[in-house]
Amino acid sequence: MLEARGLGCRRDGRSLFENLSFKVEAGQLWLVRGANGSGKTSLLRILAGLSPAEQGELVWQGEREPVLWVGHRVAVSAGLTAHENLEFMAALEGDEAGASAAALEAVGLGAFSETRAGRLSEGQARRVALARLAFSTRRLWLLDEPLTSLDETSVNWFETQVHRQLDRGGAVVMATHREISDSLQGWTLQLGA
Amino acid sequence: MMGRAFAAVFRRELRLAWRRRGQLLQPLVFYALVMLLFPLGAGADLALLGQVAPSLLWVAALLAVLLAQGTLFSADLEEGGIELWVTSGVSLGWLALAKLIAHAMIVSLPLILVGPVLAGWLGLRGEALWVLAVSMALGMPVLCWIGALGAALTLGLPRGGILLALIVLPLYIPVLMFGAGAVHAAVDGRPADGALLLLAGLLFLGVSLAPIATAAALRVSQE
Repeated sequence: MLEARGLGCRRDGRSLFENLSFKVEAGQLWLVRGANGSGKTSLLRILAGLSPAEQGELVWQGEREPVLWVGHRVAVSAGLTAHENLEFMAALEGDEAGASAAALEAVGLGAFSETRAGRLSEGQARRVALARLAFSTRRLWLLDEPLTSLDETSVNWFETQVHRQLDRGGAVVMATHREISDSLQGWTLQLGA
Repeated sequence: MMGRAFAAVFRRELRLAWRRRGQLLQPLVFYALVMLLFPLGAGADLALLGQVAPSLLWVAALLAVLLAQGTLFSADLEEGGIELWVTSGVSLGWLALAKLIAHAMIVSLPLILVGPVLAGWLGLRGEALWVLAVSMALGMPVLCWIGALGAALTLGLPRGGILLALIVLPLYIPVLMFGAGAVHAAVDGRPADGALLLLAGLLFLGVSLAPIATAAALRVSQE
């Protein structure tokens, strides 16, 4: 699906990673691991096209397609309700309109759909952004620490979504510190080693 | 899909603006206060007022617009909205166009509506009021878009406000000259068409270039 060839990244004159090559294929889960500041976010941002690759290149198999990006900042607007936020994301990413109510229900936020996101807790706001995993049709998901401040139930729900994505031939690249369940087997990219 | 994304951004901007409408009143209150206080300070010399009113109306409107710029993209940056725009796969310039049109409407419309009323208070009459309204309708959006470009360029910088003013004010000058010039001409009984046409030209230049430039600045802010 997406191949990285010799990626390298420098920050403030210090090399974070160099000559990193890997190939993300359909149905694969990649876990990006490493200590704080080892370049996990930088790598994911390069893959998402947010930052340019300073060294190396990204090669898409076939046409370059948009990815689903959930960053550290989850793009949930404090002034909009949970439901409005999700509908906005669906409209921008070209997903079916009207799927957000069910998705919010699925992440346990059904009762909060008309609540302004500014009043939600951090974990709840992240669940709003992650709720679109339930209906997104994008083939590659790039998730930066998606499990931060999520409760047990939400982590389980998240793992189900990753399973579903892999089963239908999608791929997931995520950075995380947390252990994920054994049922999710993935490739590991260890940074800063 | 592009139409839907455009409409979504446009609706979102209007909705957010309506929810913090108190904040939107600030430029309007500033504008009205300057206009109401100036004649009190300048004394009751109607001839003098008539001479300076067109420039004053435009300068104060320009500063009022500048007041509304600084935070245009800051929430989008902090919340990660710009990342969503960049990764959405929709052209960034297209999304910027939706945001800029909404922004111009939200900021300019109240000023355009209140401008002729305040002009009446300063002693402008008849055709000059119309010319003022038309010149503001053509010029205010351009000021908003230049300001938006400045806001995008200074995004995330500490004390970006001063830098914003430095970037933006030189670009404001042509708009100010043609805008105030049109009203001056109308007050003096000269035709104002020339200045208004030039303003219209700037408006088209703005709507075609501002989204592209703003999109480029937003993309850079992410690197």
